[in-house]
Amino acid sequence: MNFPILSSLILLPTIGALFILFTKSSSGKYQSSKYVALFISLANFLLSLYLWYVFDKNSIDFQFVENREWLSGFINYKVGIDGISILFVILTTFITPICIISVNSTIKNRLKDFLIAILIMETFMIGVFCSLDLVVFYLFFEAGLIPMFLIIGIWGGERRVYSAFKFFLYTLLGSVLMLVAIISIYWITGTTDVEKLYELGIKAEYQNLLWLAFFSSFAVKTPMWPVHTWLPDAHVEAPTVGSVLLAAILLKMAGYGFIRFSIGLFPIASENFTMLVYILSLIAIIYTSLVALMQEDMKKLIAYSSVAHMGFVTLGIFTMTQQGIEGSIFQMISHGLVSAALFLSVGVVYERHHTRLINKYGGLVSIMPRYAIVFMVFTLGALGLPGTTGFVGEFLILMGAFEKNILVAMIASLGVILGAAYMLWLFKRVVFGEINNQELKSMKDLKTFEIITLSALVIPILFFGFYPEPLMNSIEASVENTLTMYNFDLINSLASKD
Amino acid sequence: MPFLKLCYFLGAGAVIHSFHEEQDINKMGGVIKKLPYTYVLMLIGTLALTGFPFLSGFYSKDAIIEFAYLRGNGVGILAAFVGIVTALLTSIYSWRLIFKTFHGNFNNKELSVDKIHESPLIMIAPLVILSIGAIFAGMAFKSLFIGHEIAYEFWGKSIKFLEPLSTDHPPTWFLFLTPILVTSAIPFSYYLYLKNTNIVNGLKEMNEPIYQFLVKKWYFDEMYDYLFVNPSKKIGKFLWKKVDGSIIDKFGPDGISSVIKNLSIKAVKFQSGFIYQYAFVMLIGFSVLLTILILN
Repeated sequence: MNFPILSSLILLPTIGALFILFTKSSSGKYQSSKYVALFISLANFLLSLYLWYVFDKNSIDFQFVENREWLSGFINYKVGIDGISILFVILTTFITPICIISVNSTIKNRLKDFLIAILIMETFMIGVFCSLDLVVFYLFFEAGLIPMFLIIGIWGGERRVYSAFKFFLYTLLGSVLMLVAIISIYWITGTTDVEKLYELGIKAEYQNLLWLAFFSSFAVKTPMWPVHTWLPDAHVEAPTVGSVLLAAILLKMAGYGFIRFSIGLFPIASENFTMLVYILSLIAIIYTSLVALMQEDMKKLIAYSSVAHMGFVTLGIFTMTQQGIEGSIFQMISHGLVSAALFLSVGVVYERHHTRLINKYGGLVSIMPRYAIVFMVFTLGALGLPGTTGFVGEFLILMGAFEKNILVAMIASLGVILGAAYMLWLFKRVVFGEINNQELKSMKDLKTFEIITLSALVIPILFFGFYPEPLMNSIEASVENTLTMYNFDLINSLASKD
Repeated sequence: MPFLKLCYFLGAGAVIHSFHEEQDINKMGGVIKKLPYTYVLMLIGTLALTGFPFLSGFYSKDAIIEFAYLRGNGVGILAAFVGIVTALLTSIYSWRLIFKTFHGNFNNKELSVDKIHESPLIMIAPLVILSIGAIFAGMAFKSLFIGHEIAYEFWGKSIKFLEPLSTDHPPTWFLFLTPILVTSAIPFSYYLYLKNTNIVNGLKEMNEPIYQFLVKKWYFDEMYDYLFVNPSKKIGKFLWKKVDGSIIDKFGPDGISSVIKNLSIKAVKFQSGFIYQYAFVMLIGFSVLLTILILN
């Protein structure tokens, strides 16, 4: 493979952003810049689909690897993908055009700058999922904060500055420890190349501390309990599109990091800390589900439900079973689609009625029947009804958990019930019931572009819910390989102890 | 028997629609002439549901009670007895529904009688089909899977019969017991709920607590609220406001930032601009350093 397809994927949005930067900003409603952004992001989506097509699903190696000298031989710019990362790349390139289409309803001022922020964000997020060098990964991982910080801080709601700083400092604080860990890995092993590190392994005595350093970064980003409090604030203040990007893709970077780095590089430490992750995940699932039950703000409710769903993801990853990890990846993809869809749905009514308080709504089913239908699909997807993607992920995770620890699995199953409770209650209060608020009666049903974006999300949620095989097929070999390496390292370390 | 239940439910839906989404049967009554088709169809549904002889509910219910009785032991007799009593009760409350909904006086104060209208054809047509099923399905399918040899043949392995089915016949009086009770419930119910409502009202007033208990569905909803719903809500609120808000945020991000802010405010005070203060600090520092040097 001579054509640098991954670098093209990474750089194309940036080129588009530069292009928009140099277009005339005074023209009308910036429509032209919006079309440029849409064109670029769709081209990127098609490119990623092509990548999926030529990708060899049975190979366990990293594919399309590009290795270029960057810092005079110490650190290389190295990118490559396996079956796990390609799904996240496609998720990113799929969500971005949807965000760009929905931009015009939510962003009233400085649209051009907003589009640039989104495109730059896409570059960084694809970079995260492709990078095969710890330093490159760190750069993309952290750089993603900047456009998100700007999106919340400039286009956000009333408390946007507080939320933006909280989001930025919280995540930065965790990540600094990861940077320190990366530097020390370089001094211990002499490389930051992930593939080489997989082969070399890291000595057992260093693993615990390094694991904790990586964990502090990923736990904030996931977010896990008790470092989750930035998420509700960030979501509530962010504009709709910002929330979509945040929930659909930013949160997935940490889950991906757990699989790629925590398990891959520090297997012994991962085994040591399994119980810690279980407990934090269970607290996240139950605690945030209960909190979500009581929320009065729709966006906050969905934000808290995201924490609960990501609790399932971390639980599944650390079961260290084939089902658990596959389920977690599936759950992340599913949550990417469903939460994006839910935030867009909230955006639809927010744009019309300018409030997110649940008790201001009710009876939308007779005013906006189309909206009621798509919102119902997303609600059912979020609570994991069989036939939606949410079910496949949760089911596999619970299956993996049952294999390892029945008590953990039983407590986690409670979260499924609570999830159904808060989602259905939300749906009931917003969509059903009497129309108490007379202002609601003037609300219009979905516009064309909303139908396009929302149905673009309905289709994969239902399709992969009924037929998850294409996704499972892609991740199977890579997950198996990760687990084989993991178990091999564990057995080796046990043998050397004896 | 799917037909009769469907017929019954859709019939209820048609009535509710006719009454402009009113569900309370206390606010209905006296509309036979207004809703003739719905009335007839509901009547068929009721007859079938209560197990009126030769309609579809009759066969299934009778077969169940009969075979329970034929078990011969205590449990079987008890089950048959409970079956008969509930069949009677079913009949009474079903007829109560019919009488209160269609007969008597029009009781709705918010709605005038003129506004009550028959449901459109699209709602009536499926009801007609279902009511045909409710009448004839029992007779048509009776020989298909109820009975002795036929039962084994039809169900095959999908039902495992623990013991061979009894081939005895229950006594004749037993066979007639249920249909007679069910049919006699019609005038009984008519008297209680239409002719002389004083008895029911009197019973209600005498046994207010029991009446409330039954109206509230044995307080099951309240029990669930008390046991599960309200505690979940309370815990959720507590975790949100107290743990998230007052502990994690207060000592976490907000706490750290306010500590740093306070420290920096204090640090700023060092820069007072007075030379003598700076000189004093320098002197102290110098003497501390000197002491350390000498001691070493």
